[in-house]
Amino acid sequence: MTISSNPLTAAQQKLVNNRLGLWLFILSDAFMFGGILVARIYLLGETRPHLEQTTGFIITAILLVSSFFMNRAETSIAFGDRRGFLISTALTLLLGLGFLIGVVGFEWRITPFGPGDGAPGAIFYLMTGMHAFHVLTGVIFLAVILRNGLMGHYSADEHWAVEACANYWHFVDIVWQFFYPALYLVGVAVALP
Amino acid sequence: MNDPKREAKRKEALRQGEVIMLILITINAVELWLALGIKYQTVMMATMAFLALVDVLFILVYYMHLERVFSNKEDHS
Repeated sequence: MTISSNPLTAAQQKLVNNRLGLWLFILSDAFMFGGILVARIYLLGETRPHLEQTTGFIITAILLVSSFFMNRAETSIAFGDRRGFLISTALTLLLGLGFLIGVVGFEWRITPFGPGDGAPGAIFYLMTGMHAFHVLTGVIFLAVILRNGLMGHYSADEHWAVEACANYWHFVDIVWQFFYPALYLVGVAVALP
Repeated sequence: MNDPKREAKRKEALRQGEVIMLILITINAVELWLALGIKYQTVMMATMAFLALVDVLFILVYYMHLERVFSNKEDHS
């Protein structure tokens, strides 16, 4: 057994614990979304509800671009560029709101079926609803780091909260990378009452 | 921000983010294009799962920096 000659400082140990905790949380959340995806495959098989393809592609693109700006925000603060961090965080937040409006405010309105219209309706609203709830949580997280950023709480050496927010946001994006094809692309579209 | 080496690293990191975004949007467009063309649903499901996994790999490695999980350094520049 070897004993490290360079033990971690309290701050480093805290960072290691924080990172591990965040990734364990993401993993546990991934299992929940995985369960929902399996339910979709089991209940709907090779069919899917009839949905507007253009809307699906646009909201997916919005989420991908928001992930890009989130990455830009994190990179900016890691290099001490506070202005770049604030602009990119604000853009990510706006795109997140755009995604929410696209799904809940637009897609849910034009969809000609409700959550009570059989398994396809239930699965569609469960998948989009649970994902939208996570996007909303991410938007709140973004608003918090934007406020703290405006108050000058982050620097190149201390920005753990930004990293945590970025990882959470990218995770939400990852979930949609599976949900989008599962809802909009895979299977034969069937019209619901 | 005055250190030229650090500034070059920053620009490189930002450029990498742009390239990854373009790759991800292209994969999504390919998904949509294939979905309109493939008739066999089993092939479609396998193809979509593969493309989604490629997407996820790019996000995990380049956006979420998976290699940092056990790192004790906050400054990743």
